[in-house]
Amino acid sequence: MSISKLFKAKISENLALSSDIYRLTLSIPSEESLALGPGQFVMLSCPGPESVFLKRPFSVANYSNRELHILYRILGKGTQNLQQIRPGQTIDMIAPCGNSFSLPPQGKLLLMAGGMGVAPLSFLCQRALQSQLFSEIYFFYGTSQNLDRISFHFSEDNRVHFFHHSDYEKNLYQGHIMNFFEQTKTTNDFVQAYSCGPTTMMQSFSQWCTTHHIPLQVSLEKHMACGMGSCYGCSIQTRQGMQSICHDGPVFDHLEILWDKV
Amino acid sequence: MNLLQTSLASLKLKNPLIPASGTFFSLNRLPENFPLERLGVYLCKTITREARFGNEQPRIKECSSGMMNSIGLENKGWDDFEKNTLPQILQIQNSKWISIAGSSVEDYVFLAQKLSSYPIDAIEINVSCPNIHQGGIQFCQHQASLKEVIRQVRAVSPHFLVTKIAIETYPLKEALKIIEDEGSDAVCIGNTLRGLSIEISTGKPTFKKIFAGYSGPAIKPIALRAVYEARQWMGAYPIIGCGGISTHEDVLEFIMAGANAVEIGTANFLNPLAMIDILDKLQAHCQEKAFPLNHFLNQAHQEV
Repeated sequence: MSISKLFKAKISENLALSSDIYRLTLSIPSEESLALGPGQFVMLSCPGPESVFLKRPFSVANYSNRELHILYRILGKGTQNLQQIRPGQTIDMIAPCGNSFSLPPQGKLLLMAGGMGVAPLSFLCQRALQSQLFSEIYFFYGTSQNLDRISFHFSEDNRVHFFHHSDYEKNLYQGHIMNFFEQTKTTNDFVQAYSCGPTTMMQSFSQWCTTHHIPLQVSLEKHMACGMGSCYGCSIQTRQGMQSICHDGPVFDHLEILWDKV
Repeated sequence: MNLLQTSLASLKLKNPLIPASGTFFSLNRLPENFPLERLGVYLCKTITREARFGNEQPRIKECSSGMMNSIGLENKGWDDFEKNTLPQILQIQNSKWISIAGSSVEDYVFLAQKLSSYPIDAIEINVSCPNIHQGGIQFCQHQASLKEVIRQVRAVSPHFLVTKIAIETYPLKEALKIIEDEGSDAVCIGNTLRGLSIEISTGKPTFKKIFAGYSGPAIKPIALRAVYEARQWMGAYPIIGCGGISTHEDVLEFIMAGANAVEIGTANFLNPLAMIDILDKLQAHCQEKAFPLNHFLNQAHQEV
């Protein structure tokens, strides 16, 4: 593993996707090299009027041509500052952090995202499509947000069956994305499943995957100070003992997870 | 010429920067291109006799000008350390320091005794832990406990001993006297400050253990004051300063206040190369002033 480096990343866009969800585009200086895979994250300083000390972890939502996307929802001081960042500004970024999702050689994929967990799975979907090895990807996405202004690069690709379920559109669907997923009665011949989102959603999905013998990789998060395995702030108990989400994860085989300890 | 070399009595260091225990990569997590050879000292994350899971989540909370942590000395215990971590540490070229902690004097003695046959350069005795035989008061805050732990570790250990105390240790002067009299070779002042955070939404403390350690730039003036006072009382006794040090200017202030060396903690979380950056700037400062770093030692105490 090579060192997570500190970069000066330049903001090229800070786009509102809904009333409180934004997509930030950062460009990597031309003299730097950076490899990033789906599931990996970056630590961003969030300079601005609110006093923010630690960097914040954000999953990479896309990375190509030295441009990196992250999605953020305004929740606290860090993201309040991010919202006010303008194109042309530079911010400190530590990257790459953590491990990546791994893709099987071929077969049908199932992606289950909740809330901002859509970011790493969107990147994964993109990479799977680029590889030309996957002709069927089922992508479920639950959110409480108005999705009108959110568009995904893959939603027009006929290899992707994209199902989004928004609590916002109460007249369309009621309840949990997992209920919606079970109602869609997809087949169970997936070779690999992936999930990122609220713990309760991932836990339900983990049970479903266990019942249907489908391997599942989940991406977890906790508050962390460093994002590089030094502070032990994001340690959780797993079947493999104590693991740091930032260093041993954030992607784990779901069978390693003790859901009542997450 | 190495302008940054320093010494703690007989212990020579090629530069005064020490990664504070628990804030720097363990060797099996060290990125392959990190220039470890630049650091004067490698100090490991604190070990305990038995394995510790550490505290429940949450363990980290940001606060004004710093952060709070409640990690709880997560580590795999002595047996695992001796088998898997110590052999790696013994292979590096840096000055090799091991941080030890315990819940009882016996725990510290056990670890010091086990380490006595290994060629390490120093043991840092972390005495900010609660003594379970004295109602959970920190060793450094209870003079009899502090005395006993240093005396007994000294009796079994041939190594250079550094005693790491909390900045709030009170009365500081008496604690320092105990540390010197009982045979510790150096003192490190200090550790995180004990603080509290409450979740407004629930009205409950953020951390399961209620109190947590506050670190970061905000505590620097407090640690600097303690080092300055300690230098006034302690003659030439080796002192390591620690608390909120983030820049080479901070290091210079600590050296001027009387620290022979310094530990860098929270700054490592913000930038994995923080210590390397600080070393480069210290080197440049010394070159510009045409003095070795030692020239600045105790400068704040000298009469005009």
